[in-house]
Amino acid sequence: MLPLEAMFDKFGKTFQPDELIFCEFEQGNDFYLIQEGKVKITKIVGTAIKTIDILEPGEIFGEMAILEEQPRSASAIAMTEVRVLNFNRANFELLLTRNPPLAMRVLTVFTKRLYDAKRRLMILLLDDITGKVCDVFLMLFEKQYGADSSRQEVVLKITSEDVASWCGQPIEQVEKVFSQFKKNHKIEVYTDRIVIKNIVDMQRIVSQKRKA
Amino acid sequence: MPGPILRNYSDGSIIYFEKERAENIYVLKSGKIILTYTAVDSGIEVKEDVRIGEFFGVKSTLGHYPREETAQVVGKATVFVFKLAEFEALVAKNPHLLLKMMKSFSSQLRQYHSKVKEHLGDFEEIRSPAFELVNAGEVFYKNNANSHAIYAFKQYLSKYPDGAYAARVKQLLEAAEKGATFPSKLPELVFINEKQGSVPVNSLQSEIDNLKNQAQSGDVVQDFKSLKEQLQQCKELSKEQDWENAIRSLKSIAATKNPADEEERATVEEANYFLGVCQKDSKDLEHAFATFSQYIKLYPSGQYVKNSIFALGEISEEKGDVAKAMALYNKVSAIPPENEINQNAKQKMAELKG
Repeated sequence: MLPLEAMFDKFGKTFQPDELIFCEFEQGNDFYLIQEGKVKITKIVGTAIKTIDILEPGEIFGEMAILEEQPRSASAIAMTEVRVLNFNRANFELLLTRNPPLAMRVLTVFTKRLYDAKRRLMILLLDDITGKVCDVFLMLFEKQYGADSSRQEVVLKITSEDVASWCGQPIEQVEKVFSQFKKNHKIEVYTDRIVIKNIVDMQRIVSQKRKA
Repeated sequence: MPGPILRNYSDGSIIYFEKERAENIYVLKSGKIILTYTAVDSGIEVKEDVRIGEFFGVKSTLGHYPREETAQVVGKATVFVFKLAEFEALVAKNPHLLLKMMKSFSSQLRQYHSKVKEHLGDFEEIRSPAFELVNAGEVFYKNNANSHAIYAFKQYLSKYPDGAYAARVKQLLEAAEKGATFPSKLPELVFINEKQGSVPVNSLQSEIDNLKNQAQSGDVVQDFKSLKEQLQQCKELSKEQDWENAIRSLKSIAATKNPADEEERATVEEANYFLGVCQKDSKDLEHAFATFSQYIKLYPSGQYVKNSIFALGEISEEKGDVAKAMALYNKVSAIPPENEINQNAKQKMAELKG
């Protein structure tokens, strides 16, 4: 087995604090494993830059580049000095076959991405926008609390724009659904979060829409 | 660490239900197991056979999410049951498995992504990546992230040197590099609907993903034994005349694309030949004939060409086509080097002549 340190000598990269590792909408061909430091993942929302995640050593990012050379879906910025292992087409197979624990980690990330993609598709396949909105709430609830959680009131740290993006619908349409839910006291909408009074209501609506 | 346990299941047993919490990973040693699930896009119930040596229950266990299908035994079955740590230990010793799984997972992910994109339709693709990159640079600039803006502008100019926004980007890049604030009098960025040209799709995925279609439930199926070990297992099954399982596994090995090394290549070749042998021995003469013919086409200089031609002769003889049999025996009898096959072919010709 090739230890990570030895791999780093050959395939490692270092970024300085605040350095852009890759930019949203740039074509991507590499993905990275963080060895040291922290990486901030950001997205442009309107005229603002929103932080959507902070990644720590052992985490992988940019892995969608392994599928296709496509525009990056977010920017990655080094928060501290960051050392990463840089995977690309040329070294991917070598790196994974020579370090199985690393390969397992990458495989697990892919497994989770696969589930997320499938779950997202399920939302998009619902015809009705109310169903879509409810299923977005349900999906985020499952991610945050686990599918078998028995909670009723749920706080989701998302915005209306996030929900619209997940649904693949214009924000105005989504806000109409929110208005109806607010009127019926099913949700409360704040600038940085949405409170679902009873997630079971959302589950019920989604089940009905799916059967229809 | 103790290895996986071997567990026997009787007819109709449920190994796990859809939506159950995932705990173990399984490999089918013998028997028959069906995976049942509802296809996300069509809503149709799908049933798939698990092949001998195939993993199932992998994704939900690795990803810690509910089972995506119900696994039920038909007849009876014996499975290896791996806890996650045991699975990790296994693949650590067989890294080729990990790579094959990665290829399969990434293939499925790509399919999901394309379906997601299809359903998003125009929603996310209103503007071009080029425009978005310029916009990103401008947002960085307006938020005083000059170095990030410079990066984005340079990326744009490198990718689209003659793009519609090139002049604007050059102006902004110069200003950002001088440390100036965002030019307030610059007109707002407007999307220009020009044809940017297709992004070259030269992906790792297209290079590495040549696996044959995996099961839709996709637990990546490839076997925890090497191809050589799997072929050996098929030979043992054929000795026991378990034709169904032997042939099923041989088809899987024979269909392997992109063998990892020479040993795998040779194993795949042998599987392509041995498949014909099993079909012939199990009296499935039509398929055997097709398989041997296919072998000769795929491997014109292969190790089993003479054997294949001889077998075609035997099949023709069994089907009563004496003329064809004679022609085939004649052909193989003349192929060097002279060996037992040549002698057998000559003897057959003599017998047919009467």
